[in-house]
Amino acid sequence: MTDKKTSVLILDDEPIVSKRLKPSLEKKGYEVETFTVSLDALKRIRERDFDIVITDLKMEGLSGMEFMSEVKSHSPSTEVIIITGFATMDTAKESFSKGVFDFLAKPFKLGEIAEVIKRAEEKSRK
Amino acid sequence: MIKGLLVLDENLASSIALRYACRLADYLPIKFKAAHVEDPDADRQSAGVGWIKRIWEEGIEDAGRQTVRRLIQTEKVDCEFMGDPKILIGDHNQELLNTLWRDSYQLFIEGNLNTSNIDDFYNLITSELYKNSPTPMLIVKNLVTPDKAVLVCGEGVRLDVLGSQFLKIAKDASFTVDILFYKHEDNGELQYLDNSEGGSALKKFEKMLSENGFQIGQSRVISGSPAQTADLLRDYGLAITTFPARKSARLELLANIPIPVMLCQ
Amino acid sequence: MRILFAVDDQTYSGSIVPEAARISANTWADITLLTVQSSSNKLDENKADILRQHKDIFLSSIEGGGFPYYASSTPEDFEQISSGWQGCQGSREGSKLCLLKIRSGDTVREIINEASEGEYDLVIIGASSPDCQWKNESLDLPQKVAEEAACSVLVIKRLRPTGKIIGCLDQSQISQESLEMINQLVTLHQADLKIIGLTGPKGLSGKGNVEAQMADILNYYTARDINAWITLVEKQALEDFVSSASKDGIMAVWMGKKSMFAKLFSQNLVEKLIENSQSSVLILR
Repeated sequence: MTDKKTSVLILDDEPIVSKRLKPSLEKKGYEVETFTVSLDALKRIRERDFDIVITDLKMEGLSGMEFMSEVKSHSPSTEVIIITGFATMDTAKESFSKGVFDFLAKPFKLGEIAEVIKRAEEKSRK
Repeated sequence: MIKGLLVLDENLASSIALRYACRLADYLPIKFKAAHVEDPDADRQSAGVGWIKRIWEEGIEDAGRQTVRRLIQTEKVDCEFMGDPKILIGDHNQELLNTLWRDSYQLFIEGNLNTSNIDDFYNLITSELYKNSPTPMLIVKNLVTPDKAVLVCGEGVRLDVLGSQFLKIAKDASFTVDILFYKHEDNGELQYLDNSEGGSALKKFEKMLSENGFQIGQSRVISGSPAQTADLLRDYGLAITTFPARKSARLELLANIPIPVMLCQ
Repeated sequence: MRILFAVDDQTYSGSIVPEAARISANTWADITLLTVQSSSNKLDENKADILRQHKDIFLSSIEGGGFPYYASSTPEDFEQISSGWQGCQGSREGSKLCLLKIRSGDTVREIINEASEGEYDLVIIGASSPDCQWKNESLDLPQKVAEEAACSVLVIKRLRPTGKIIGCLDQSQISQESLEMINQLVTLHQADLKIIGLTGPKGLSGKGNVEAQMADILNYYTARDINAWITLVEKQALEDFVSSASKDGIMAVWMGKKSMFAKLFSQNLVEKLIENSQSSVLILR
């Protein structure tokens, strides 16, 4: 069972974000699925659980906050990481009150998010 | 229903003008005829006669139509246009001017990006097209939402012309309208003055608008430099005034305003 | 986001600590407060005290007792590390880092080295106004840091309310990171964004279909509810425009390796820009 890869879902309406993150995370051994449309991602999380979900906040259709609530209600053990280009204290606090694992403002380096994912992975394995 | 002529090309200014025009249609009962001008050089234009020229013109018209369709598709706008785009072949200004006179349009709209050089704006509004147009000219400089308009008054503004042209276009508008009476003052900070500084002309103007059933929001008298005042106006979605007759502080103000400007005459 | 805040013991550094705190807390960033001492023999206790004081002000400037940073109840000790000394703060799960660091050596070089070794996204640095210097340091220190750092640099000369970010973004080449950095500043200041397009005799300047690229940038921002304005400036008028526009808001200039602005501006542009600015300048990379 220990061989099971940690699954990561990335949702960001800017394709460049997934394009940067996916190969780097796959190289580290994660199983990664990416989405640019929140409703497509929503459909997917109803089909299966992910260990970690990384989501943008400001998106057309379902917002990141709403998406996170859906993830948590469907799979409470999934760790959610918010990434946003429009960070404020209020959005960060709201995210934490809804059970987010961490909150990252863009831009960030790949190393920074990789550290956060690693911590989220450790927590989800406990 | 207002009949507007919207001039389009495949460039940034046109893509902004197109999107703005569609937003404007949410606030004004207006329908647009999209127009595009192909301006071939004189040699090519005189290259043929009879059917050769006709076929050549049809080819150009077809290319022009495709240009406009491509732009509308790219911008994904959903406002209604009056029939197919009108493709004009010849001198840009002259062809548009003829169309405005011949087809009885009530508003001309085109995109023209804001520049840091006042002469660009001056050259535009003193061009043959602008000087001789029978309609108000709406210059779209940036993409904003026309939910709030401002009537710019002050020295050199013919309030009777502004009032009558404005009412023709905007009597059924759903945007809110303020009045700004501008006084030029280059030194010091922007200042709000007492409305009496606008004199009897301002009072008469307000009265004329209200007698015609138009509800004005705020009416303010402001003194400041053109740049400071232009910056203040960026909260609006449309500035309406008359053509400045010469290079003046008001011309500088209009050149600096980053929002769309409608010039009446 | 990772932020490096370079400080000394002068007012131009002290007075912008609350602003650095606002930027960091709102972007939920890990932050390092860095100062530099010349000697590598022994920790300069005065410098350590300055950092402790700045950290206290930093934490007290953030509503809610410094959250998301950890506030220790005892003064922070320093331990030696390879590049100098580092504060030994306690930590709390879920809190962001607010590190204190002292490096030894040449101030400009050490700030630049720390920026690159620590993989920061942004360096914040204060500067005296109007002359734009650091006391007792080589001439034009803030300008040199802005010119040479590997990441974006925000030079704050004077804090003013900012309603406008004026962006020379070079739409054909600008990096995603730079667009995102602008987003954060616009959000923080609830400002409008004025995008400068450069024009030459053949229209808008840049590589490829510049008009389409500029439209893309405009769409990018309008889709995110940011008020974005386009203003065209002729190439030869750019330097004058930049000097005068910096009075009205934060100037943001993209100076990445492929930047057209880096090529167009005269060699000492960054220096001139920062020197002439009356508020803040953000050099994007």
